[in-house]
Amino acid sequence: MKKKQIMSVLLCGVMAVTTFAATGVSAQAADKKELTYWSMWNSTENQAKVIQEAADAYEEATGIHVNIEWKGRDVKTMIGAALDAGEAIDLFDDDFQRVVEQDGKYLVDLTEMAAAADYEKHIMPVLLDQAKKWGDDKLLVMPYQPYTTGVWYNKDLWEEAGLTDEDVPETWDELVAACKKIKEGGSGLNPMTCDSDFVNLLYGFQLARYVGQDKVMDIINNCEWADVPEAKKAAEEIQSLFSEGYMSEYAPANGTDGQSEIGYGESIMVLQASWVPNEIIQTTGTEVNWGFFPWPAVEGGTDGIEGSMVGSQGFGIVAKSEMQQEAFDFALSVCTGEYDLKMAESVNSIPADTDNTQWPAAILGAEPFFKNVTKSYMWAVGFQTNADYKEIIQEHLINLATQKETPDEFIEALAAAKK
Amino acid sequence: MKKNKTMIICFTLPATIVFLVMFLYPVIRTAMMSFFTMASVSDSMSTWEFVGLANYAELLKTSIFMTAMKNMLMIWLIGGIGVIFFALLFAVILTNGVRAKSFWRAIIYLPNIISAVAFANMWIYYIFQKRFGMIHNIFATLGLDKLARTDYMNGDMKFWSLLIAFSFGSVGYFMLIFLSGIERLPQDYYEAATIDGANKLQQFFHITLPLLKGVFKTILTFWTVSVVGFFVWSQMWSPVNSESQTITPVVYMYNIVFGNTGMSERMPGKGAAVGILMALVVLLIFFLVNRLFREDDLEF
Amino acid sequence: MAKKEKEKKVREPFNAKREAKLIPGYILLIIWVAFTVCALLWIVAASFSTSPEIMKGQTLKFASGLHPENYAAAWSSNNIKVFFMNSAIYAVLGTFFTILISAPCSYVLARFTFLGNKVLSSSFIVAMSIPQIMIVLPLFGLATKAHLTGTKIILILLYIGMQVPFTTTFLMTFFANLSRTYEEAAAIDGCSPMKTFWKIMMPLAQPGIVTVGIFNFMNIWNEYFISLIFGATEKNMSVGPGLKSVLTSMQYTGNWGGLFAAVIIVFLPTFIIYVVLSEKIIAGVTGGGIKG
Repeated sequence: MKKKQIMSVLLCGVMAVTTFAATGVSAQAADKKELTYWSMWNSTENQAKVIQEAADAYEEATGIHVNIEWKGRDVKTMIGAALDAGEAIDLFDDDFQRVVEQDGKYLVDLTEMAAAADYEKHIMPVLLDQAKKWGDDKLLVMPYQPYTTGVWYNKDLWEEAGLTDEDVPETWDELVAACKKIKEGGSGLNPMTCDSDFVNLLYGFQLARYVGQDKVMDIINNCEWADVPEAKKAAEEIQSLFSEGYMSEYAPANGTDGQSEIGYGESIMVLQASWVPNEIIQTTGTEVNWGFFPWPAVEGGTDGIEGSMVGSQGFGIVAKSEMQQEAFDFALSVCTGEYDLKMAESVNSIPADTDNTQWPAAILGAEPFFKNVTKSYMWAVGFQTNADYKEIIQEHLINLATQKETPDEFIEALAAAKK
Repeated sequence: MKKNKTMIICFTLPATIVFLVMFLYPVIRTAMMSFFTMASVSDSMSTWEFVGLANYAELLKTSIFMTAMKNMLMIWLIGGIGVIFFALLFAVILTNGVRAKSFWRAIIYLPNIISAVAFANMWIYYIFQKRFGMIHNIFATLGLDKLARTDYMNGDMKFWSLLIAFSFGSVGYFMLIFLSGIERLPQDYYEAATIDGANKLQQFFHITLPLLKGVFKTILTFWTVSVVGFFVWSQMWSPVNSESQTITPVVYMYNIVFGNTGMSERMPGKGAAVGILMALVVLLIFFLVNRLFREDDLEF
Repeated sequence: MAKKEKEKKVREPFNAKREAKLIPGYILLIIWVAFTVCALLWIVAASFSTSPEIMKGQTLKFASGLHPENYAAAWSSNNIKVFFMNSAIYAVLGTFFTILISAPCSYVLARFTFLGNKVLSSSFIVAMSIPQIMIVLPLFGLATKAHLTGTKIILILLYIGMQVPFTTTFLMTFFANLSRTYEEAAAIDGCSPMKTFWKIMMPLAQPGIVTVGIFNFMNIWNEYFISLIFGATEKNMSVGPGLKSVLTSMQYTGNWGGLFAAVIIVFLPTFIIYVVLSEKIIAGVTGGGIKG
């Protein structure tokens, strides 16, 4: 009987799977001292590999197993609900601002533990200041893998287009001049490129250069777009990059297609955070000779090149955890010393520990400027902070970039959108 | 008969429990939650704060939620017309004696068995790719440079590309439902009509369509349920941050209940209100459909 | 014409005039099918290609040869094997227990009149059209209270629950169509009603059970929303959210060939089942459709 066979095969399958699932369940019941860490990485990423190494080393040294749940970026959406629900999590990581501002209420103040370990001097001052500011003078987060933001360019293409170090811009006018020179130079290269998720960086930087970070937040929160003439001016200028043909004809591109153009030798500059050189190398397989300059200053602006979107990932340690000190020690091993350096090398990122002074070659160009960053901007100058408003800003930014809206219409639309 | 009683109880009990725990209890609780505010989904009821209709009022004032509603209704209406048109068309073609019927049917249904995430990748990285994609290449080959330059993943086009990709995959499913509906129609109607000299087209409009009323009802209900649950496609089209072209009510709910990128508070009460509004939408459409296709005719 | 309609049912002789009428239909079918097939073949091609080739639109040239190692990379380092096994566990157990719960219930609902029969069977029909968004929040609350979040068990339970209304409704028609003489004969032989069900009626309903089982299997395999919310950790993710997480990390690790290989791996089981059993699956859709 064929049917009977099917049925018995099915049953066998079910039983096999049941035992499999059962063993999976019982395995985790093993009683051993362990830390539970919800990670923002996927286990396949290089960051994860370094963290896993650090965890193994930590286990070797202390006998405490670090149970790492690789959550990926969705950790930002899951962590709060999970902690509310009483999930046993000792530490987790995410964007360090989000850790403090969104999940701060679940976290323990690390000030004492940090003092005991003399940790604060290892944290970059600009990050420490921010973290304390958001945390009302408490230290709620342990930053690692810091980033800065600015214009990354392919030095070889830059020269191919007939430009020299003299042409590296410091002001908006010089940036436009450099773009013009590339465009008219006949090399066929696009001066700049961008991806649609990061158009907000272009406009954000330009606006913040004029009015500063605090004022930008005012504009967003109080819908003051129409009352601030610089908002329109910045819109006009950013749009001109697109309308003058200084941007790649495919910009704003989908996903990471835009930034990849640099690796493929089609475009020269992109405004992005310091993780971009590594991403481009990984995706395109091209070793690019990277140059860097901060987003230029504008005429009559509040901020100059001392302002940048600076941030990092950060560990938060859960207040309900019974192993806070252990969690702190483990996180410390990732944020400082050997594993910090390993992290920097493996993903071409900035070392978090102030004692680790050697930057990876790909982002070395940003180092001199990074030391002088005194004004730190939020990511996308805070355009993404308002849950009911961020999509609207993004929509009109794209319309601005694709010239579907004039700067006037852009400002009008943003002012009209009630929060 | 006593034996039957125990049997009835034993056999229905597990399924009844499933229904009570998985459907009835959550529906009631969601309905109640929508009139309260709370810090977290799992908070016990004693900590809830009653706010009356405030959650609903706020939602209706939130422009991004209204955008999400608008997107959903557009998908329902425009996508629905397209999907039903093609589904019916293919069903009619396939029941009119084309060869290799089951081959065509199998391929048209194929997208439904593919994980939506996998299928969406195909659309985004191949078909809609603006430099090397399939549509780009077709237009470029035809010399239609302007069309070849269309950017499907930005601005308004992003909504349409999403709509097309989602609808394309749905056609096969609804085609199958139409197919089985048409195949069940009594053949003698057609024979009589043919004898009376009615051509195929007349037969279609005067026999097939009216007789398919019940099937239409099913299809509209299923389509509504699938559009109301619109989530994964939206996530695929906007993987980093939700965007106004692709946001739908479920995405919005996911954002506010589980707290997305924004540093904002989580609002489960408001999320529950979104759920209730969605259920009302389904009910409303269900009601309208029932009015529209009254069962005064034959039923299949 | 009428005669021809009848002939068609027996065997279609070639008839130029008839076929000519169908040409527009064929053209449409060919365009639609060609489009689907081309797009799928492109994924297959991409899965054997490299990131730079995919991103530069040179997928079909295979300039650097075939790269079957993408599959090995996807299977182990992209964690697809974990997602794959999870989906298999969810789909097999979910399908099995759904049928175990639904089949007896639908049999009783189809065969006996009792107080609450109508209520229960219409409840299932209503449950089928309740949007998931309406029920996930309390379920999430329940799951966290029971400390089931982050386990595989919660997903299995939820999948069973999600499929029970459809499965019960679907199987009701099947049992209703079975002749009562079987039960009568069994009763004469002294077989108790319950035993009759397990020994006689279940095997008789097997075509329906297999159909609805395959249908459920596919649904659970490809499910996304529930798995994302309740199983949001790599070790519990099913293939849908798993693929999505591979995709997000792809931006940073850049192995697009591996991503498409992952897509193919995820797609293969359902595809193979589909090729072998497409008639059953199609029957599942239409059976449910007509009832709903």
